Amino acid sequence: MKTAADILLKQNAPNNYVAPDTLVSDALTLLNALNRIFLVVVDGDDFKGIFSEHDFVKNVAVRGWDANVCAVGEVMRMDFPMATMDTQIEDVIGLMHSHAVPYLPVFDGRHFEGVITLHDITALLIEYRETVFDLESSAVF
Amino acid sequence: MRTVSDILSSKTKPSNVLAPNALVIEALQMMKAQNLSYVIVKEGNAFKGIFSERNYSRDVALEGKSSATCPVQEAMAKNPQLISPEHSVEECIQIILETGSRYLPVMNEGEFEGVVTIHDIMREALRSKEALFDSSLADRLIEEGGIY
Repeated sequence: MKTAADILLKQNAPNNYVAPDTLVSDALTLLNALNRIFLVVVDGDDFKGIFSEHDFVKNVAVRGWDANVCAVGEVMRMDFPMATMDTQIEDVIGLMHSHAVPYLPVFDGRHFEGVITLHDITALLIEYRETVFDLESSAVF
Repeated sequence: MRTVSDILSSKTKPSNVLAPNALVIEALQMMKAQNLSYVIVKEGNAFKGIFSERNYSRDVALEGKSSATCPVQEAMAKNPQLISPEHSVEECIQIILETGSRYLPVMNEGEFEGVVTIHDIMREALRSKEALFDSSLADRLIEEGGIY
């Protein structure tokens, strides 16, 4: 069974980091420039949370807040469960489900290593296509 | 092999539908009320596009438009990747990975049938109990209605 570390190894080097005091408007510009749907919020080497388009809509736009005034640290999501590098994929999915999050930060001890997303899990399904998509048997699909 | 048709048959008829001239603020309120990240834009029975959080962020907020005056038709995705009821779940995953799409509108001979999302795909894949994950987890994910 694959682990969180195996998924992170397949990812490109992350470039979607911002500081907590980054203005939401600047974060949106960065999301667009990077063509990403979330940013990792860090203070130095410390993981603080994740800011996504969903957070922008839910915590800024719907509230009528000004993206040119509020910072990502005020509206980011922080209540993430945490996986370790040796957390098995099954448990990764279980954590994402039980906490209703599409992203899961991964740590090695106290060191932040990266984020696993639903798209990573989807890609894994294709990697395991011969077992997931059993073309010979309707018992699987 | 399960298909898009199987997915749609297990979903309720979507109520997150707006007309093209509806305002973006109405779309945001509908998304919040239904805890969804997109709305379907239709004119009568004709499918016109998908308006999502991404469209709001990039095509309204970043463009400096007002959600109180901008209609969804100005910011919606007008040409999303379409699929048919005959597409397999595996084909949907390939499309999602290749295009980065999160919402796949389903058209059947010109008629709009519904939308398949990445979350629907995950639920379908997790029905494969013995393949990747243990059965108790798969059961829980399926019964509780989603991973997101």
